[in-house]
Amino acid sequence: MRIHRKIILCSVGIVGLIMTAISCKKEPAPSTPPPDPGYKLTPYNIVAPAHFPQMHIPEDNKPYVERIELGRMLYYDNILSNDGRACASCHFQSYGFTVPNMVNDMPVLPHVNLAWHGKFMWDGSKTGTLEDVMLFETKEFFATDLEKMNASEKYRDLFKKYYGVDYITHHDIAYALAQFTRSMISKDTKYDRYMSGKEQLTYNEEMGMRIFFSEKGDCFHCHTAMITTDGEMHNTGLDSIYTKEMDKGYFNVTGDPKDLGRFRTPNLRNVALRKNFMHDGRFKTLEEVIDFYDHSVKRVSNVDPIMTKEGKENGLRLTIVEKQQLVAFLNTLTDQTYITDTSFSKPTY
Amino acid sequence: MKNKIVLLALAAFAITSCRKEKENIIPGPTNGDVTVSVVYNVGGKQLLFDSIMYTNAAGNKFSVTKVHYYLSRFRFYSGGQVKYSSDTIIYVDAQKNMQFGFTGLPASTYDSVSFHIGLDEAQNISNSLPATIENVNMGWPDMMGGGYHFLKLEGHWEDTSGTLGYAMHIGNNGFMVRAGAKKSFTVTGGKTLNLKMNMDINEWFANPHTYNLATDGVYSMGNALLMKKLSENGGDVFTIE
Repeated sequence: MRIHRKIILCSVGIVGLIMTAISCKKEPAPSTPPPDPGYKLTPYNIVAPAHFPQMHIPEDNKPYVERIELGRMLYYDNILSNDGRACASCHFQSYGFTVPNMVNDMPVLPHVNLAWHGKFMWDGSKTGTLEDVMLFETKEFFATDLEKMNASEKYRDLFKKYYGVDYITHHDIAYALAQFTRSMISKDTKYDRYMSGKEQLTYNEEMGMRIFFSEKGDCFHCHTAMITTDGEMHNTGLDSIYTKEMDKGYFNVTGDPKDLGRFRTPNLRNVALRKNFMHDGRFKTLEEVIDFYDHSVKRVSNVDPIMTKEGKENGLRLTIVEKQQLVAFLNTLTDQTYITDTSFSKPTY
Repeated sequence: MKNKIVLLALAAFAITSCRKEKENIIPGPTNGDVTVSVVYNVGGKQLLFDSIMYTNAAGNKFSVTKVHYYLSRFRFYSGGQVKYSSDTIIYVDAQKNMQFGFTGLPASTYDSVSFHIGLDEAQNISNSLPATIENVNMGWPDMMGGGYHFLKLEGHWEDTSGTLGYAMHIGNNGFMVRAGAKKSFTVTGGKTLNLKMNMDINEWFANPHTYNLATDGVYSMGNALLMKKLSENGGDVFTIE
């Protein structure tokens, strides 16, 4: 009897150890299951624009045509929310995947080339991969009702087929959304075509580009060539007193005074289609934005050093013509292909 | 029978001793590795970012907000001869813990190391480095000569009118910094030696040229005179410990 008990105890102990080992192994991150056995997914080759940084694609969410399509379907479907909204409600393709109006007193950051971002939102409050930020969107922002999602025969079947899951979780939704948003790449602006030698710029566009990429305008240190954002947080001297909470920017994330007024450098692709600029939409035209950088930068203690350099303590001092040329160049960043590409549009099925 | 046993014992001994002899003449590993940690100080004070607490040779009170640069063309010397060379290009952001290494250095005693801060002409070509986010952000606009920033040293300083920014940027062929330091160290075969490279930020503003932010200028990019000054000052910004 004693021996029998010992064997049982030993067995329990060993099983416990094995269980612990297995559970420890499984804990770090839920992996994406393979598709339904018998269903063969079609690999999708994401083509990045020339001279863009390497794109990080998580091993467990490699792109497949079917999963991207599923993500697109979700992007446009208000099943994601409990109040009738979908991602597309605030991201219109015709505006470069933003909207002309403000939402919660803020301009909506456009969905474009998100795959290269490490920080998201104006204040950089979300970090990580697209899977991470999409998990936030579905779980917290939309608070997607999983019962409703799983009650949908369409999604149950598609997730079963493409992801091999019987019950759809927020993680599955996030992964599908990440598949689609990672495929949303702008790479056919006039500026792209000029850089690849396929098209010439007009005189004014060329002069504007020279202002942009030289000490004259010095836009390029933050709006890096081609990708048009360095992805970093900067205080560009918008405010000397932070009256609104939202004006404090990255400080609201870190609590560090040096981060007061710091915001993520926005992507400038399709910037000419936007109607509100800066984190609070205080400027309504590109001309107003340029006027600000030209002579209204505030000399606060943590303003980016680039903003108050020698000769520019009192602003860029651009002429009216130079300002017009800068706007002409910014207009070359509009990507008509991106805003009309049907593979990013609302599915018709 | 006894004789046979003795013979066998002797043969076994001979074989064993032969083996031992062979083992004795097998040479040890002839190469070792070096790992390098990069640390920073400003005139002997530990570097703390975003704090106007340093004074350079010209008397400017300043802070440091960013130090990004490339290291390349490492050469390890012994008795005036290059014993090991590496053409790896290393990007460094001083706000991130930085360690890099070299493998397969001949076991020997070395007396000095030379390297470049920046890239030489063959390397300094737009889009020639792997398209990492860091390399893309270090790009030097084509219309200003192309290639990459060799150094971005930025911060704030106090002038008579208040706090201003400064940005010591170096790029363009001809302004790469030839740096190095004397240091005696021994690389032992099969082992890893840890070296520490210590950058004194103040040295960018001194030796041989005293750089005064108030009179020289606070923004060097595109200004050949200032970039030359900084490039020449950069030769001794590093010491090796």
